Amino acid sequence: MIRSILLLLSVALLGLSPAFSLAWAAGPGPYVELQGLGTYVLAGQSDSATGSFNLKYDPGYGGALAIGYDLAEAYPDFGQGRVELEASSRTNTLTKAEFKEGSVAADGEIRVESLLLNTFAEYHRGSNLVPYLGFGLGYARVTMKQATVYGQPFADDSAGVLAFQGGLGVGLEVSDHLTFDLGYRFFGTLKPSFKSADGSSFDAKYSSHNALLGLRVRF
Amino acid sequence: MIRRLAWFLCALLPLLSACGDGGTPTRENPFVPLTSLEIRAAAGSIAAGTTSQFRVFGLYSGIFERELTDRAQWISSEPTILTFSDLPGEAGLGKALLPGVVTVSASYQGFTAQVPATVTVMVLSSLVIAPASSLENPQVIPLGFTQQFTATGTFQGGATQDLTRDVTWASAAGQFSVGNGADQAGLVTPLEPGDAELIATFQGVTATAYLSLASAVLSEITIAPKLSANRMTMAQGTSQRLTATGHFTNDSQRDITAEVVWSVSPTGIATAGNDPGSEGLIEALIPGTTSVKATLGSVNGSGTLTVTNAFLTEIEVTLADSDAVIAVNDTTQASATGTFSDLTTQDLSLDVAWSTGDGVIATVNSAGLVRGLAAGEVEIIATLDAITSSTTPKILTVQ
Repeated sequence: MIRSILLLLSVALLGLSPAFSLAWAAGPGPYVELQGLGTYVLAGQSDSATGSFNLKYDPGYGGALAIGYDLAEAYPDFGQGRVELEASSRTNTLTKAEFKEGSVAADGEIRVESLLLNTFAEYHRGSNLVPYLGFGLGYARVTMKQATVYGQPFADDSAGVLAFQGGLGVGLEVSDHLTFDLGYRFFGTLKPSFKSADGSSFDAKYSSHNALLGLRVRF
Repeated sequence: MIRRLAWFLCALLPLLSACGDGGTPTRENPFVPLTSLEIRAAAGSIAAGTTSQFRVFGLYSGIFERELTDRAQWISSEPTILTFSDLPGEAGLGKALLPGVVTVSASYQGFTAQVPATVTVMVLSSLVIAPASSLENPQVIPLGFTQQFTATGTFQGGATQDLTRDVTWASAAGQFSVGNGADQAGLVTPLEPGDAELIATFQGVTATAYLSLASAVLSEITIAPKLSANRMTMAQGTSQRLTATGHFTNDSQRDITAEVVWSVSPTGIATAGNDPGSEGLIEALIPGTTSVKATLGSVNGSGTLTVTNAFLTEIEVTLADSDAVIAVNDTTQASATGTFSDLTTQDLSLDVAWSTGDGVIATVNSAGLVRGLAAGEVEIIATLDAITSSTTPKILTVQ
């Protein structure tokens, strides 16, 4: 994680150097974006045949790599925009499980790896700050890894589900090649079904707030 | 098209963010192991010819307790003296037949608890129906509502016993129906308006309750506790039980906490309980302001709930016995009051984890009920979010 941030900063400094002159009226073209994510999973209700319960997580982290194409003026109606294919991974630690009798300590991880097709509309107003807004749809593999509740085995399973996200942010174009990306994503999935350690199954809920810091390199 | 979609997405995001409400869990915790059972009897001595309800609770590793009365197997060491039925709705209901001493056992998942029970011949001297009423001040029951009555017998010698399931309940003139035996004993359902008498009879002794069956209409619902201007404040992560009082057009009022539908709007900031046993239980989830509403038919009462991000700084334990002294086998109720970073205080009795400094001297259950086991001094401890009451220790003396 730290290595990724250092890499981002290094490339950013490179982007600020005189070799990369300020010229942010670039036209269409492909780009690659690397993102670091801070992830807050919303406490969600899980459903099983014997009733519902809630799982709570600590804030976590993640990362994403997007390969896309800036359509520039070809993006319909909104000014400019882009489409991208984004692969991401985010991980949070399970801390509590809440049942009818109250909360008890829990441990383990929930990891979500996703592949989404995103589209973002950008609003260019002649400055190097470019607000954007968009959404994505795709596939996610949600893994409940070595989860325990009160020290007892709970679940160690994964499931593939439909994933979606909505997001907004602002891009800071430091050159015609480099853009800093500061944004927010609401990321959610349909309820993955996991097998419990006792053989029964439960449907978990996954949705998260994500703050992102990214660096976009346009070719 | 894209512009419209963008605005739609803008509007959708706050709604999506509110979807983090975990809701009130309904599943029992299957992970914390059962460590022991505890039988709680309604009466130490049971009159022959009556019934007495025994209840058994499972103690789960000191984390919580769960009532297991309906799931346990009940056995009497001498069924000719005291017997248990297998009929639905009668779990733990001991029927005293003949005088004598027996051992009552409750078994569940390999654990067994036992208590002695004594059946004696006692002569009933008086019978009292609760809630109290008189000809001048009858119990008002609006049509469409029900009222649970209980009957308590006092025997010669002064012993008392709950006889709700033993008496014969009757309506003097048929203006209401009333349950008997295992079938909702003492539960009155008005059928037509007017004054009426409820009669309980056992061993030739009778008691009468005076009822006013009113065609009154519910006009207002108030929620308690409430602070000034109907505003309540709770710290996130805490819970509080509210009650709803119905006010009727004939100026009568009654507790309708279990009959209203509790809701919060917008959701996500807090949850409101409607399950049996948790009616009116509000759990504060995240900071924000929401409206708490109690609705019955077309009438509702509401209040504004503000959930703050204040964090807990101190917990103070108080005991119902203000001198903090109880006898062995006696109980006292402990309460926990939390002080938060914004200097507000809140009752946290439902939120804290209860424990004692020495489980040999006293135990405390998840509801804060302390039971003295042996003579000595012991600290009663409430803990929440790594904050413990031990900074201002509450010491209980068991004599």
